[in-house]
Amino acid sequence: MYSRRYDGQLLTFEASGGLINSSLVMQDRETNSYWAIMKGEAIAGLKKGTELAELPLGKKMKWKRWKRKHPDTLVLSVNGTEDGQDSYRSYFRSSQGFRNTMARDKRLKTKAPIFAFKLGEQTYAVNHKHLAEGQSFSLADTWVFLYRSASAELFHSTAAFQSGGKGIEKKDGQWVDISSGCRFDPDEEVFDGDTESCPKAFKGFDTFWYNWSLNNPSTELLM
Amino acid sequence: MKHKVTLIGIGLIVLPCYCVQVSAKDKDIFGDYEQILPRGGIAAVVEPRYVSAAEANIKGNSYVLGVVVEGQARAFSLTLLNRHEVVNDSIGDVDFAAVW
Repeated sequence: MYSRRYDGQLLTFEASGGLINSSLVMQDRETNSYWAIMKGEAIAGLKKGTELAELPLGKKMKWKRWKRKHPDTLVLSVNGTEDGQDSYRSYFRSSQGFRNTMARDKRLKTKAPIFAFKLGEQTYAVNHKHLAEGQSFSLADTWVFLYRSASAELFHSTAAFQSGGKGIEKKDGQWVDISSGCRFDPDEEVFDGDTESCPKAFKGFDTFWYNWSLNNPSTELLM
Repeated sequence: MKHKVTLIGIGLIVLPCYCVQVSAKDKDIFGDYEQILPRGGIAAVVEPRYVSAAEANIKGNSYVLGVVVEGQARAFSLTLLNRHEVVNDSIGDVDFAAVW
């Protein structure tokens, strides 16, 4: 999810019809600038150099789970359809990237599913398989906690939190933020406790290695 | 006559130089940008319409991108997002584009 407001101006985004390193490039109708989502900024046009403002709001999960958590949810409907055919089924099953693109950085396989994020100026990525039942990382002055349940499928969002405290550790089978005492609830995928001092959710990308590494070649690979 | 030929000669030299400069600048701006479809070939959603959870026809195991803003929950199926790439919406003071 991205903000549509930049320098006070409300923008309307759409697909440019083009890709950069096989990932989506949007254009806005107001300034015609080009916005590359994996680079996180406008790459051409009046807004060139403006960072895309990510809103840590969206979560991907199965419809039955979302509906159970939010029974009053509204659902997008386009021309009477809320779901429809999955036009990318063969792409997601293939070991190759879009239009046979391959990763140039061979540290992981082209279609390895990863969670990637930016901290300061450094980008990081970690293979989904290392995140089953949670993992914490000490990066610069920040603790990062990433969680995927052992049964999470590819499309399920990785839960991601940051904490500036003493660390996030597993105690008696439960992840705990040492400084605040907040405990991670693996069913709801949130930290329970005094919300002001609990680790804060942050946004990254669940994507494939080739998409991310082609756009962010100096990424540090975790684990 | 000699003067005219000189001018054309200069024109021929200047024009290719200009072309080279423009293409170098484009390359600099766009890097590896590749236009696959014409702009507008994938229609973004700009005036989203919604139905209730009870009315929605989605399989339980289909994936959605869900969002809660100011207590209001909205869900976007990944198949619709694949088809339209971007949904432009606002809830209260939060103006957002749903992309995945």
